[in-house]
Amino acid sequence: MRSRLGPVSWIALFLGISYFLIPLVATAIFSTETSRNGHDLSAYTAVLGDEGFRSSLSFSFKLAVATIVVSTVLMVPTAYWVHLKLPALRPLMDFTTILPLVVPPIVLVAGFGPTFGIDGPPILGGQGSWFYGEGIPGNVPPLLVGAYTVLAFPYVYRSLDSGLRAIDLKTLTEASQSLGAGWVTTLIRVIVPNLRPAILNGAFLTLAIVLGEFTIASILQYTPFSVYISSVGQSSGTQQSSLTVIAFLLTWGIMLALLRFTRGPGGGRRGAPTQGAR
Amino acid sequence: MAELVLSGLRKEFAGGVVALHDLDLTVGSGEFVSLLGPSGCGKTTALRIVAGFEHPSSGRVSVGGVDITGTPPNERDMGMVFQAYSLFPNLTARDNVGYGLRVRKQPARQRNQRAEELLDLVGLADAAGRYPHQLSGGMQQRVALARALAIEPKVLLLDEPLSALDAKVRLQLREEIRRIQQRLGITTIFVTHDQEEALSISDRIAVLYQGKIEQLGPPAEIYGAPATPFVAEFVGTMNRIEGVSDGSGGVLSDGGLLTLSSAVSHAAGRRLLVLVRPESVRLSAAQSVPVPGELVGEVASQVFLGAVTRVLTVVAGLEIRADVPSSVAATFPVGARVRVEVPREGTRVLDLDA
Repeated sequence: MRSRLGPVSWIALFLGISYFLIPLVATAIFSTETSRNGHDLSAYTAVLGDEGFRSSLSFSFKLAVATIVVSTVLMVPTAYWVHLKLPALRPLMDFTTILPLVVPPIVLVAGFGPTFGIDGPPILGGQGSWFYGEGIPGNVPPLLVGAYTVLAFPYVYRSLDSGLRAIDLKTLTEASQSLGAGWVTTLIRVIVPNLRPAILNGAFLTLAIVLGEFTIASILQYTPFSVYISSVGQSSGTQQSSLTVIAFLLTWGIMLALLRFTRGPGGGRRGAPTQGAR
Repeated sequence: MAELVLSGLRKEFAGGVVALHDLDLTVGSGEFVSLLGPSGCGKTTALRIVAGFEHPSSGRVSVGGVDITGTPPNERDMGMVFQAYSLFPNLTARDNVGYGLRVRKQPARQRNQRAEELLDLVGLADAAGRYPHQLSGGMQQRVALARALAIEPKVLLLDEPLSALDAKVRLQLREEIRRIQQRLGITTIFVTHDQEEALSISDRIAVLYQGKIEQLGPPAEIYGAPATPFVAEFVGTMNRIEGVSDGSGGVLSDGGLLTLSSAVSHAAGRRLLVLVRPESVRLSAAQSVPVPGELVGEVASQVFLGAVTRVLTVVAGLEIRADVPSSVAATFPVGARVRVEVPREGTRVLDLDA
C-alpha cells in the first residue's frame, strides 16, 4: 500500500532522521581526524591492533551468548506455561518485568553479589573462581550472566509475550497432545518453532543490552566492550569514536542478519502463521 | 475399534456452574454419534472430558472396557479435529499428518508413506508439501482430519470442525467425513450446534440442553418425534400450538379445534402442546362458508426457500407456518384466506401438565 506524505510528514521525517544521523556522522568524521587537521584511519588501525579490543569484544559476545541461552531456556517455558495454564498471573508477570527497569543498577549490583556469588554461589561453597568464570565453558562469569539475564528479562519476556499472543497456543498444544505428544515434545516441536521470530527478537535485544551495559560491569570491575570503550576514551577521543562506530556497525550488521534470517528470502517466513490465507 | 462409554459424567466449574449433569452415553463400536445443542449446553465440555483436556467432577469415561478417566490426553489414542484451525504452522501438510507417528517414533519413510495415503484419502495428495498458510480453510480441516486419523485412533472426536467454513465447503466436507468414517468404521463423536449437520451424518444424535441429554436417538426420530418441547424447538422449524384436550382426540387451541389421533390418550382438561412441521401442514383455498372444525386463517407473509415457499398464516391470532411447493405459492398471496390443515395422524402431542 502506497500512501502519500504531506509536507508536514516530510519535515517530521527529515527532523527524525537528522536527529539520529547527525551524531553518528559527526562521530564518524571525528574518529578519522588527526592532530594535523587531516583525516585518516589511524584511530581504527590503533584500536583494531589493540589486544584489549579483541579480548573485550570477545568477552562481551560470550556474555551475550550465555545470557541469551540462559534467558531463553528460563523464559520460553515460563512464558508458555503462564499463557497456557496461569493466565491470571499475567498482570503479575507484567509488573515483575518492569522491576529491572525501575531499580537503579547500583542497587541491583548490591543484590547480585550475594545472589549469584562474587565468591561463587554460597550454596556451592564457591571460592572466588566463579568471579572469573573459571571451569565454565567460555570462562563467562555466572555473576555477570545472572545480572544480565535479569536486565534482559523485561525485553525477552515482552517479546515472547507478544509472540505467544499471536498463536493459538491452546489449540496447538491440545492438538499436539491428542496426537500423543507430552509437554516437552510439544514445547520443542510445536511451540518453539512457531515462536522463532519472538525468540530471535528477544535474543537480539539481549545482545544489544549486553553489548551496551556499562554500569554493572564497571562497578564489578569486569572489562567487557563497553568498559573498554570508556577506558580508551580517557586517553584518546578519536579512538573512542572509532570504537563507537565499530560497535554501531557491528550491532547493525547483526540486526540486519537477523532480519534476513527471520523474514528475508529463504528465511523463516515459510513456517510463520499468516493471516487471510483461507 | 472400540465402544465408548460415558457414565454419570458431571462437571462443575469453579463458581458452581454445572456444565454437565450426570451424563450417560454409550457410543457403539464404529458408531457416529452427534452431540447437538446450543452454546453452553455442555456438548464441548463432554467432548473435552472424553479427550482428556478436562477432568470430570465425577463419573467415568471408558473405551473398549478400559477406564481412562484419569489417563492424560496424550495417552488416550484419540484423534481430534478442532473448531479452530489447528495445523502446526511450521510443518507441511505431510509433516502435520505424520506428527503423531513421529511422536510414536515411526521411521520417516513409513511415516511419510502413511501421511501421503491419508492425504490421498481426504483428497489432498497434491498438497503434501504445502504449509498451512498456503491452504484454504476447507483444505486445512481436511489435513487436520487426516492427521487425526493417522494415529489410527480408537475414537475420533470432531469439535465443530466445519463451523469456520463457508456453506458449500461445509456441505462437501461433512459428506466426506461421513464417507471416511463409514469406510474406516471408526467410533466417532461429532459436536455441533447445527441441527442440519447432525441430522445429515449421524447414526444417532444426542440433543443436549443445560448439561443433560434431552433426547437420544436416530436422526429421523429426533426430527419426527421430538421427546421434549426443547428438542422440538431446536431441531428444525416447528409450529407449536398450545391447547386443551377435550378427552376424545380434540385439542382446543386459540386458532380453533384440532382433531388428532395422538391426542386421544390425553384426559380432558390437560394442557397439550401440538408440534407440527411446516411441511406437514396443508393449505388450500378457504370455502366461502366455513366448515365447522376447520382452521381458517389469513396469509401474513411468504418466504421463498428455493424448492419450497414458507407461508405464514394467522389463524385467529395463532401463527402457523406451512411449506408449499414454490410452484403453487402464488395460489396463496398475502392477505388470502386459506384453510389450514394439521394432519390427524402422526402429529406429535406433548402433555404440558406431565
